[in-house]
Amino acid sequence: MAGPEGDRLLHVDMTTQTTSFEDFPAEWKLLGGRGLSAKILTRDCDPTCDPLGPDNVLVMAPGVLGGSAAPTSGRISIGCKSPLTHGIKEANAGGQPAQHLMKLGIRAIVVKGQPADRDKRYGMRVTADGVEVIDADDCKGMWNYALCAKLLENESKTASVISIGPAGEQMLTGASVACTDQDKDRRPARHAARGGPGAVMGSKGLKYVVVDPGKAPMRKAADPKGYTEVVKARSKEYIEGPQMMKSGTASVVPVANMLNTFPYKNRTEGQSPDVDNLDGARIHESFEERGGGMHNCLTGCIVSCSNVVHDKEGNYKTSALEFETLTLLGACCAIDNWDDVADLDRLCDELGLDTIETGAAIAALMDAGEMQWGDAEGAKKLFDEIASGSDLGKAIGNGAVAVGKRTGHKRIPNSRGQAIPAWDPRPLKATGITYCTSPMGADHTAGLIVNPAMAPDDMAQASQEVQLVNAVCDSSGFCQFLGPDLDMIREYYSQLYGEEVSREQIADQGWEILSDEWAFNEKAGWKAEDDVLSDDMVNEGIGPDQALKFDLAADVVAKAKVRFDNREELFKTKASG
Amino acid sequence: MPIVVIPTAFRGTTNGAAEVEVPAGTIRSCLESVSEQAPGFHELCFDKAGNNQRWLKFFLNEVQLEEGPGTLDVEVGENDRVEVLAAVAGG
Ligand code: SF4
Repeated sequence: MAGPEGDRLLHVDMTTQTTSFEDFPAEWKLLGGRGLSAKILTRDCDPTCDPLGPDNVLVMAPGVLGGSAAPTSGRISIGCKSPLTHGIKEANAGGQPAQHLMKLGIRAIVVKGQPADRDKRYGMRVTADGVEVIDADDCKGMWNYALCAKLLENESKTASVISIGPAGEQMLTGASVACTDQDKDRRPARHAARGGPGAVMGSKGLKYVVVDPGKAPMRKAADPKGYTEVVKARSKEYIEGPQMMKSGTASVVPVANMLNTFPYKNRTEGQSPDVDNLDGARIHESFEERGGGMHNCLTGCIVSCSNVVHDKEGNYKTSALEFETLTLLGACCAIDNWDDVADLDRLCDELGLDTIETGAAIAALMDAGEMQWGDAEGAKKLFDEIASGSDLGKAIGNGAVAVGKRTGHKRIPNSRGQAIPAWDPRPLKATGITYCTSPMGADHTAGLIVNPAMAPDDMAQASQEVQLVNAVCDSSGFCQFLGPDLDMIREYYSQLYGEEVSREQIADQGWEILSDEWAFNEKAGWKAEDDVLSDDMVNEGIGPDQALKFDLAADVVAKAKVRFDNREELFKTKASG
Repeated sequence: MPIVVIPTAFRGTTNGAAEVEVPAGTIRSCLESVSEQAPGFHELCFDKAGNNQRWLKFFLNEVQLEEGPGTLDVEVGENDRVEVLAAVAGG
C-alpha cells in the first residue's frame, strides 16, 4: 500500500486495564474521524447497549489527513453511542491530540469495558515507547484546567491531553471530552461536546489520555511532491480568498439576530435586546485593553477563528467564546453581556460540559420559573451544584430534557433528547431538516444551511448534500471552518495514497458514513416517526407576527434520507457547521 | 444593468431572488437600490453610521475588493457583477 504505512488501532479494555494493537484494516485507509468511528462502532458496539455500561465503545479518531502537512486538518472525532440521543454520536474538537496520535500511526483509540470498581479512576499515556494505563485516583474530581496543568507539568513540551472533568466522571449526559490546544499553556479549551461523550469516557473510569509523539515525524504522502503542491496551491487559494471565518464565530451574533436565529428566553423570541452586549465585536474591542486575541487551536491552522478572552485585569479567562455559547448561555438565558457568558463558558470547560446543552438546560430552568431570567450570578452558582453532584446539579448537567422532567416544564426545544443549537430551525427550515434526519440529531455541525428563503422543494436535497459533505469533512480531519468541498478532500486523498479518488468514490463515502450511522440508530431503536422536532418548534412562532414555525410536512423531511443523484452542487457545497 | 448577487443568508429579504438588477453607480448605490426592493436588506448591509457591515466582503467581476473606507465608493459599470458574501456560519 502506498502512502502512510504501519498504522494501527489502539484497543483499551477498561475492565482489565489492558491494551493491545490491531493492524489498521487496509480497506479503511480513506476513513478517519467520524467515518472511521462509525465503522468501528458498527463492528464492535451493540447498538442496543446501555450507553453508560461496559458494552458501549468510545472511539477517539483523528481524521485521515491528521499529522500531515495539510493545513487545518488536525481535528479529532470522539464517537460512541450517545447517552443523550441513544443513537450513534460523533463530536468533533480541535487541539493537538489528533495530530499527535497520527504521528504515532494510531488511527484511533478504541475504549471498551468498564472497571469493576466504579470509584476507580485511570489515566493513560500514549508515547512512541508504548502505552500504559495508570492509576489516576489522585485526579478524581479534578477540574479540567487544574488536571491538565498537573499532568503536563511532568510531561515534555510535545505532549497533549484528552480529558474529562467532574461532569464526565458523574456520567452526566451533557458532559464533554476536552482536548488541550496548541498554545504553550496547553489549556483544555477545545471540547468534543455534543451528545455526552464525556459521560461515556467517565463510565469507563478513564479520566485522561496523555499523548506524546516526541520526535515522531510528520506523516508522509505516497507522492510527497504532489502532496506539497496541493498543500501550497490550496493554502494560497484560501489565504488569497475572503477568509470569512477570520473574525471568529462570535462575530456572527448581530447578523444572526437580524435573521431571527439568535434565540432569546428559551427560544420564545428569535432576537435578543442585548445583542450589542453579546456581539463578538465587543470581544474584539476588549483585546486592546485586556489582551487576548485571535489564535489557532491546533498547529497548521490557517483560519485562526478562535478567540482568547481575558478578564478586566488582563488575565486569561477562556477560549474560544463562540456564537453557539453566546446564544445558549447568553441570549437564551437573557444574560445580557459577553463577560458573564465568558465566565460560564470557562465553567463549562472546567467541569467538562457542552455549552449548548448546559445553556439550554439553564434557560429551561429559568423558563420554568425556578430562576430569574438573566441571573448570571445564579447561573454561575449552578456549576457548584453540578460539581457537588446535587440533584439540581445533576438535572442541569444532564441537559434540557432532564430539567424539563425535574420541573414539569413543557417548553424544552429538542430533538431526540438533545437540545437544539443556536441556528434556529424555524427561520432556517433546511437546517431543521438536518436536525430531524441527521444520525447526530439536532446538531448544526451535521449540516447547517443559512438560507431563510430556500424553496421547500429544494430543502431536503440541500440538507442531504451538506450532511454528506460534513460527514466526509469530519472524516478527513479538516475543520469545517476551512470550508472544504468534496473535490478538495479527494484531491488531498489522491496524493496521500497515490491513487486517484474519483468524485463518485468520495460522494459514495459520504453516503456510506450516513448509512452506517442510520443503520446503527435503527438497530438502537430510532424510528422514522421520531424524525421530528419538539412541539414548541412546530407550534410556537418567532419573528414578525410570530409567523416562523417549523412547519414542514413529514414527507418533505423524509426525502433527505433517500439518496439523490449526484449533481454539480454536491461538489460545490462547502462543509458548514 | 449591473447585477448584485445576494448572499444566501440574505435572500429572505429578496423573496428568494439570488440576483437583483440595479442601476450602475457605486457599490453603495447598488446596495441601496437593492434595499429599495428588499425590506431588511439595508440593515444587513449598512451600520447606523452608513458604513458597510463588517461581515460583508465584496467581489466585483470575481475580483475581491480591498476592505477599507473606499470600498463602498468603488464604481460599478453597466455590465458589472457585484457579488456580496456574508460571513454567516459557525458555532
Ligand atoms: S478554524 Fe478555528 S476551530 Fe478550526 S482548527 Fe482553526 S482555530 Fe480551531
